[in-house]
Amino acid sequence: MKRRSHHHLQLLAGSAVTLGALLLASSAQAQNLWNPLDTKANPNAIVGFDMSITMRINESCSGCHEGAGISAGERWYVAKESLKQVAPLFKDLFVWGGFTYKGCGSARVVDRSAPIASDKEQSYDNVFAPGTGLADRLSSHICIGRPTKEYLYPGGSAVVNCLTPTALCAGDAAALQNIYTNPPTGLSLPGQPSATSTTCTMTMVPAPPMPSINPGALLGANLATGGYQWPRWSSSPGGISAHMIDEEFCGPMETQLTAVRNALAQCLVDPDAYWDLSFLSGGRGSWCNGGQLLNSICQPGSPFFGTCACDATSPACFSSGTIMSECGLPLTLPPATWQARQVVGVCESIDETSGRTGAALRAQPDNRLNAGGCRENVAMFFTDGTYGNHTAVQAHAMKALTGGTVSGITVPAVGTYMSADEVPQPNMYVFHISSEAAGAANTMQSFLSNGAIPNRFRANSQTEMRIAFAEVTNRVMHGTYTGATPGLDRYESWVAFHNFSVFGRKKAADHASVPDDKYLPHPSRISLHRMDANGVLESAPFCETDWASIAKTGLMHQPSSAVAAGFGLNVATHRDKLGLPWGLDPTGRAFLNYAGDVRYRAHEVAGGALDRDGDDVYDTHPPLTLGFMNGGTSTRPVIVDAPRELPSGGAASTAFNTYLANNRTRERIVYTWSNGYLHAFYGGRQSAGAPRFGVNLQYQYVPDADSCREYWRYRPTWVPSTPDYTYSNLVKVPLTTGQIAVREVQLAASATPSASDYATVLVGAQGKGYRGLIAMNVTNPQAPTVLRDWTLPAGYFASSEPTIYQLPTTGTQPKVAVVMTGGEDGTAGLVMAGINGGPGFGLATRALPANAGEDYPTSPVCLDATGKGGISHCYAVSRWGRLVRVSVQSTAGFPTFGPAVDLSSGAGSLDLTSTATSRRYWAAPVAYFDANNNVVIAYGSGNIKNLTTPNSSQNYFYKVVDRTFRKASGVNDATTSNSCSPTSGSISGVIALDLDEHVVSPAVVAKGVVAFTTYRVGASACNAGNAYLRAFNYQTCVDAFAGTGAPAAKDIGTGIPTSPTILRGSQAVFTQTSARTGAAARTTASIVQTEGGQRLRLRRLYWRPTIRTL
Amino acid sequence: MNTLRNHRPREGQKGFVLLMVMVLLIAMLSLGMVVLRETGERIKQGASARAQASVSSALMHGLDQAINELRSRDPVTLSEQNWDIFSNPANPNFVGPLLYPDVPIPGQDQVDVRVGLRIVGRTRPPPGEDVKSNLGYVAEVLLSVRTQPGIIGSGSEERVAVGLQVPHTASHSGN
Repeated sequence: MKRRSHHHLQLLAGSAVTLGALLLASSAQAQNLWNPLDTKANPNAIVGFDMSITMRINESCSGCHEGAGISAGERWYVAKESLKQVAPLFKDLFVWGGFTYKGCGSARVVDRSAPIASDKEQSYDNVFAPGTGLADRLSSHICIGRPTKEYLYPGGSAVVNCLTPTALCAGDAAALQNIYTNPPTGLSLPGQPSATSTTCTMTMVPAPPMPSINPGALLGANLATGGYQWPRWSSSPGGISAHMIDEEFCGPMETQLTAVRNALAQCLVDPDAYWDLSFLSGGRGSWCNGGQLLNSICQPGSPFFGTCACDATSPACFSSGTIMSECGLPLTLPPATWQARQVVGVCESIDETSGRTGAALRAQPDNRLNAGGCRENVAMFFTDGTYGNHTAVQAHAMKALTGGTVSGITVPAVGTYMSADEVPQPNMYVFHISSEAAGAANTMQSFLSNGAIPNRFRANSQTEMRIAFAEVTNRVMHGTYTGATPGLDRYESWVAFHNFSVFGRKKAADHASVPDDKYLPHPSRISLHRMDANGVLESAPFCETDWASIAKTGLMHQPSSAVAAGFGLNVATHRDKLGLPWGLDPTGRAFLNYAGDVRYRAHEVAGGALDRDGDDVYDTHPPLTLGFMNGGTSTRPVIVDAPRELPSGGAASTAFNTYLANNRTRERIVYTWSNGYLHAFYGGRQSAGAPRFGVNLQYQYVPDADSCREYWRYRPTWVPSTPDYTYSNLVKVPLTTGQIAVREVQLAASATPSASDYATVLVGAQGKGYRGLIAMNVTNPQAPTVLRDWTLPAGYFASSEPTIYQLPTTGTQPKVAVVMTGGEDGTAGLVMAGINGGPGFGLATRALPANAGEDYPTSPVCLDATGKGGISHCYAVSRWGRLVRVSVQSTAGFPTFGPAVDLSSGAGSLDLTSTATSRRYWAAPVAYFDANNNVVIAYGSGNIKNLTTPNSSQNYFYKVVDRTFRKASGVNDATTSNSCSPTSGSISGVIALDLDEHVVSPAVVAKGVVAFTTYRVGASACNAGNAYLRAFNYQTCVDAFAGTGAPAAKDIGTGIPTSPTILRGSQAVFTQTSARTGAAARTTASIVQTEGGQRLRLRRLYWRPTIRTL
Repeated sequence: MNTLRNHRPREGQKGFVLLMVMVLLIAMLSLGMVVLRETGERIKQGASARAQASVSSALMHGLDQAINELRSRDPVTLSEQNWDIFSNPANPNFVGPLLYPDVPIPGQDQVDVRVGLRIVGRTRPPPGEDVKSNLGYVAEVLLSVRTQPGIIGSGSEERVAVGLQVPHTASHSGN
C-alpha cells in the first residue's frame, strides 16, 4: 500500500534543518585592483626640460640646428623621447609635474605643469599626453637662431651689464669713445661729432633758454639704460657668432644711433653739420658687419678686447648691481659668468611665487614642505649641463636642500628636495644629454646632491633613468606589504600569505647584509601560518619560501624536458628578466643582468636582520635568500588539496568516484603569480584525519620539512611579449598581477565514463593592462600539463579575476571556459573563452552598454538564475556602477552570450545614473540567492585611484535583488527597493557608508552573512587611512555582529583591507590590511551571527513516502 | 373453567414480561455488542494511531540520526560507499541499524529503522552562499521503518526519501 504523507511534506516544506559544518569554506573573492603602495604619498616628480640653444645641437655634436626645422637627433628631442619611454613604468608611482626653461631671448621659464597630488593620472597626462603634454610642447619652445640673450633675466629688472669691468660702468664712456675712434674690422662709423657737446639751435619765439646736447653721452646713456645689455660673448662653442654680433651689438647700436640722430634733429637746425649720421640709411650691414667682426671684435687691438663683452670672467663685470632671481638669490656669482639658464631652472623648481612650481608643492598640505608633511619631491633636470657649474646654481641648490654658504652668501634652507628618510637625502638629479660638457653636468649634479652624487645620470640611457627612478621609488616606498587576500585552506587550519618587501635606504643599525635602495626587485614570499579553532592566527610562520634553507634547495619537481621551456628551464633567455630558482643557475644567481652589479643578484640576508612585518622592529627569522620570487604583486595564494567535490549523480558517478580516489593522497600545493612566473609551492602531505569543528575529517594536511619548497614554476609564453618584460631586469614591473582559480571540472566525455574525464584545472590571469591567460591541468601536481596558454582578444584585458565554469551544452562534449570582462581600460564587454576541446577551443564575446570611458574592470559572476541546472546568466558591474545581465545560451557547440540587459536604467529597476559620474566601482560583485530564490547582486562603490586624499566622497553598498526570474511577466525587475528588512533601519538595499569610506575589495557572502571591508582615507597622505569591516544578514541587512540595526563599521586597523574571510567553523571574520604583514594587520573580528550558527543550513526540498505491507 | 380463564391471563402476563426481559436482554446485548464493537474499533484505531505515530517518530528518529551522522562525517566520504538501501536492501546502512523506540520498553524490537543515503545530483547553492565558491547537492536520506506484527499491529514497512539541499564548497581555496 502506498500513500502520500502530506503531513510530513507540509511539516518539512519551507523549513530548514542545520547540519554540522559539512565543509569548511572560506571566501571566494580575491581580486584587488589596488596596489598596496597606493597608500603611500607618491612623490612629486618635477621634470625640468632645458630648451636652451645648446640643446638643439645633435646629441653627438655632429650638427647644430638653429632653424625652425627639428631634427630627431637634437639633444632635447633625444632626452624627451627617452623620458617618454621610461615614464610609463612609473606612471602610478610619481605625481608628475614639470617646467621648460631656456636661455634664448632671456634666461627664463617658458612652460610649466604643476603636479596634482589628488590626480596622478591627470598629472601624468599633463606632462606626457601625446601632442598636448608638456613634453610634446617642447617643440614650440625651441631656440631659433642666436643670440641667446641669456644675460637677460626674468622680471625685466633694469640691471646693467657694463661694457667695462668698472664700478657703475664708469669706464664705459671712454671705451665707447675708443670704439668710435678705433673700430674693429667690420665696424665703420664715418664722421665724428664736431664737438663733445653743442647748444641746440632750435628757432622758437620767444627764444627759450637753449639746452645743450652731448650725443656721445646720450649714446652711452641710451645703450646703458635703454634696456640694452652689453653682450657677454665667449670663446666656447656657440659663445660667439656673426649672428650674435649682429643681433647683440650691431642691432642695438643701430637703434641707439638712430635715436641720437632723432635727438639731434630736434635740437639742431642742421644736425648733419654737427654729426653726419646719414650712413645709417645705407643699412646696418654697410657699417656693422657681423661676419667681419666675428674675426676681429675680440681680438687683441680691438677696442672690445679686454672688455666684459669679450671676457666676462672679471667679477667687476657684474659690479653694476646684484642680479637677483625670483628665489631671492643672486643669478650670478663669482667666479661664474652671466649665463643663468640653469640657475633659472633650479630656481623654478623651488620658487614659491604664485603660479610657480615651488608654490604648487607648497600648496600640497601633505608635502614635506609643510608641517607634518611627508610627500617627497624629486627634481630631474634634462639638460646638456651647459653652465650647470656656475656658482649661482650651487647657491640655489643649497636653498632646495640644506642651505649653506657660498661665495660669501648665506643661503637659507628650504629643503624642498630633501627626502623624508630617517637621515634626509637630496632628491635632485641631472640627466645629461650630450657627448660633451660632462664636467659641467657632473658639477651640477654634485651641487644638486650636496656632493653626495658626483656624476650625472645620462638622459640617453633609459637604463640609467629607470634605475634612478626605481631607486627613488624604493626609498619612498620602503616597507613590507601585501595586496593579496590570504589563502585559507578548506579546513581553516592553515593560511598562506603573499607578502613583498621594498628596500629603502639602510639605517645605521641595519646589519651589513640588509639590502639598500639599490636592490630593485621587490622580493616576495609565501608564508604558511597555522590557525586555531577560534580563527586566531599563530604569529610565527611555520615556513616561508625565502628562508635560505628552503629557497636554496631548488625545485622539488622539474617537469619533463618536453615542456621544459615553459617551466622556467630556459636559463639563457629568461634568467636576467625573471630570475631562476636555485639549482637551475649554477652560480645561484637570480634576476641578474649586469655582471658584478649586486643590485640584481639573489641576496643573502643574515638571520634576524630584517623587519619582516613592517613594524620597524627587527624580527626573529632564519637566514634568508631573496631574489627567487620577485613579485610585489597582489595574487592571492590558492591552496589546492585533493578534490573534495561529490559526483553529480548518474552513470558518471562511478568514474568520478574513481577520480576522487585516484587523487586522494596527492600533495597540497600553493599556487601564486609572481614576476611572470606561476609558482607552485609544496604545502604539506596528506595525513590521517582528526576531529575539527565536530567533523571527523577523513584526512587532513600537515606541513613537513619540505613545506614552502618550490615545486615547479611555469612561465607562460606571453610573458616575453609583454611590453614591460624588456625592463624586468631593471625595474620591478608588474608582469603578472592577476588572480588564479582552481576547480574540478569534467574536461572530456568518454563513451564509457572514466576517471580521466575529470581534472583539476588551474586558470591564471595575467592582470591589469595585459591579456595573458593560462589553463593547466594540475590533477597530478608532479606532472602538470598546459591546456591552453593564450591571450584574450585585442581590447580585452585580463585584469578581472578568472572564474572557471562548466558551461551548459546541448552537445555531448563538456564545455569548460573562463568568463571575464574586458577589464580595466579594456573593451566594455564579456568574454567567454574555452579551455578544453582544442584546438579551436571556443570563444564568445558580448559588447556591454557603456559610455565613453566606461569599462568593466571587475570580474563577472555567472549563475543558474532560472533553475535550468546550469549557468544561465552572467552579471557584471561597470566602473561607473552600471549593472548588466547577459544570458548564456546553450548550443551543440560552444555556448554563446545572449543580449545584454542594462539593469541600471529603465522603470522599476536600478537608477544609478545620478551617481555614475561621481562614484566608481572597483570591487567585483558577489552573488547569492535569497530565501525566495531571487538572485542577489551585492557590490559597493569606492575609488581606488585616490586613496590618499580625502574629499568627502559619499559611497554606498548595494544589495540588488533581481526578481525577474520569479515573475511570470518576465519584465526586468532588479532593484534595491524593499530588499532589506525594517529591522535593519531601512528597507532599502542602498547602505550609506561614512564620508571618504571606500569599498576597495570585493565583498564575500557565506552562511547567510554578507561581509565587506572598507578603507577610509586618512586626513592626508601622511596619515595612514583606516580599514573597517561591515557585515549584514543576507536577507534582512541587519548588522551581523550586533544582530540589530544597520551594518556598522568595525575598526580593523590601518591600511587597505583585502576581502574578509568568514570562518565557518568559528563564525569569526578574518581580515587583513596592506599596512603591515604582522599580527597587527591580521585581525579576527568578533563573531558574526550566521544562519545556522556553527552548522550549515540544509533546505528540505521534498519528502517522498511509500508504505509497503509486508 | 374459571380457573382456566384466570390462569390464561397470568400466563399472558408472564409471557409479556418474559418478552420484555428478552427484549431488554437483546437490547442490552446489542448495546453491549455495540459498545464492545466500538471499544474494539477504538482499540484498533488507537493501535493504528500509535503505530503511525511510532512510524513517524521512527522516521524522524532516523532522519535525526542521519543528520547527526552528516554533522560529524567528512563530506568527502559521502560518495565512498553505496548506501542506497532502496535500490538494494543488501547495501549497508548510512546509519544504524536502529531500533525504535531506543529505550527498553515493550515493542522496542518490533520497529526496525534503516537509514540510507543517495546523492541525487548538483543544484544551486543554498540561500546566502556565494554562488562562485559554493555548490549545492541534492542528497536523499533514505528512511525505512519496518514494523513486525505484534502489539502495534500487523507488519509493514514505510519508506521515505527526504530530499535535502546540501551546501558544499568548491574543493580549493579561491573559488
